[in-house]
Amino acid sequence: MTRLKDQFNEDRRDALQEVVNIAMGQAGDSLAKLFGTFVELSIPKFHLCDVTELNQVLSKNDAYVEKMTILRQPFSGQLRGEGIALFNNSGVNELASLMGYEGEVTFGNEREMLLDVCSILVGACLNGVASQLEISLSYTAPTIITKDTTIEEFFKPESIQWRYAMIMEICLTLEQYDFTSNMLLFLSEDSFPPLMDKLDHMLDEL
Amino acid sequence: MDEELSRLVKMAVSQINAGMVILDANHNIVLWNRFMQIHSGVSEGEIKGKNLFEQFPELKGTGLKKKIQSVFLLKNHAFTSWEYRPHLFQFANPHSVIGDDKWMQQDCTFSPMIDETGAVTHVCLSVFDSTNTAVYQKKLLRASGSLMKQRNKLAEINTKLEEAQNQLLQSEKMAAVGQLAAGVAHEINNPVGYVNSNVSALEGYINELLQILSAYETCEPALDQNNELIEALTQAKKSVDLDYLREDLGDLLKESKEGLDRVKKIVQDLKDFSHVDESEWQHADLHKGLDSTLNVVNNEIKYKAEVIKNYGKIPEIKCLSSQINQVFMNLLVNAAHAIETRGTITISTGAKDHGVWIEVEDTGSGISQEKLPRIFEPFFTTKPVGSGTGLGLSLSYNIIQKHKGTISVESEPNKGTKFHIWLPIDIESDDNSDANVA
Repeated sequence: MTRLKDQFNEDRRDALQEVVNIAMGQAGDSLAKLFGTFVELSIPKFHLCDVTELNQVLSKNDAYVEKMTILRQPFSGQLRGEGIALFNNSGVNELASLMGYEGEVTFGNEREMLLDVCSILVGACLNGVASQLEISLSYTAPTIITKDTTIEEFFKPESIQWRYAMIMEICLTLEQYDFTSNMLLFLSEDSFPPLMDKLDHMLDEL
Repeated sequence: MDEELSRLVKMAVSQINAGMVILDANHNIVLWNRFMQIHSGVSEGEIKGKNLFEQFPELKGTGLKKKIQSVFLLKNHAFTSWEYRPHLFQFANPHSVIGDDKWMQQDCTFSPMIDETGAVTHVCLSVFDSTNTAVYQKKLLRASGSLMKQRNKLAEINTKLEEAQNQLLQSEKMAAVGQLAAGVAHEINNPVGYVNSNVSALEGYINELLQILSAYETCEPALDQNNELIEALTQAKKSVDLDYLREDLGDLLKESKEGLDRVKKIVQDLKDFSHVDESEWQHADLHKGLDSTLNVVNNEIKYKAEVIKNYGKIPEIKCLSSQINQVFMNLLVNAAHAIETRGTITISTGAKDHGVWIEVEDTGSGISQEKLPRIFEPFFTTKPVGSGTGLGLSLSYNIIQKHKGTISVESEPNKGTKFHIWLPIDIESDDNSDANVA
């Protein structure tokens, strides 16, 4: 753990923050075009943490106390991990029309729409990062993990396979629609060496 | 070699066991592989260059355009899953012989096709046949659903068993109390019997003695020559207060007989109440049951409440009278407990709808609306810990149910509670065997 923290020194952290900020800018643009409305993306926060510290790190965010719908989208390639999207179950009807679903929101299309938003968010954020770092990623279909669960109930240390991970926290808000989604991108431990290499490569080129 | 590779790739696209469709930015179909041709029955030649949404109008308004747009804009992957959208294209289920779904269940992926400048020029739609998975998944869901149902049923049965067991315990306890009471009654009956006959004999003897004494007294004037003797007699009479003794003897004997009658009555009530030897369904007069129960619980009630009886005219009913008496006892004791200082308990009876009704009403503390629906539950009690088992009313409820009757309650806090029981005159004979068990 300390070894990982040492590796993730200030230069590399700055470089990654820069890459992510650019990626978020692009993602914000694309999402605004897609939804046809102003999209606010928070500046991503990084946490490098042990699985046992997970709830401690995450509980600093008030939004995580509520019961939420939790979805995940795995990604693989040189960077491996999962995007976890959290929806607080409000603004779903508005979102449906925004996403081009007509008529009444049924069980099936509400679920599909949340899955759409999950893969859009994960894709929008990661694709920007991947293209800057010249990495190719592949995505697996997203799934709904649970409805009506709090983050704390969901992230039980014993139910998580890895010990350490890098977590990137992003919040997306569609102000006009009272819609908020929090996203957590988990990068697995074995994604660290390639990520550090890529960051070093970028730093060398500066 | 490149040519060979390109031929192979083409062949692979054609032969792959999944649908592949390539769309341009206007949703026009650029490629429609063999899988799509076979399942849709539309050849690539017929469909090439045509708009997807015009060819398949049912896809409009289902969020698909946004999905495709997101792929173009974000270089994203978009998906549909059979779980939420069983199919994108309505293809017949290839498992046509054995299978319960009419249509092929599909998982679809929309992937970006990126050119050398990094722009998305086309979207590749792949369609996978997930019918098998879907069928198994649905079977599993059904199976787990029915397992869950059975589990819940078992849990319910378990609870019922527990309740039954507790009630059994309680009713055995009551039976034991009844037996004890009957035993005591029997034991008291013997001495009371001979004391009673002795007292009667004693009364006769004393009367006879008094007669003789009177006879002697009439002889007293004959003794007037002997002043000393008269003096001694007068002295003796005075010292025992003979007049008072005469008067009091009668009273004492009368009271003793009354006392004995009361003991006999109590013994009889105890016997009536316990009915240990009567575990069979018999016609019984409920007024008799009420009265004997009142006598048995008199101690609990007499300092708390005045009992008012509004007995109507009721026929005898077929019942297990010892169990019905238990119900009366529960209601009466509860009524007495509900009264804090002093109140009244009103017992009313009457005949209605081929049956008999009994009401026990008290002027006690009442039961709150929240607690009222729960009072017939086992272990539910409003009494302090240790004073009530919470089984009395649930047992009563079951006894009344066994008699195919009804028991209901009305209550208002601080005003009082009224229990209403209705029992049929004769419960259907074919149910008696079942009812006899407990």
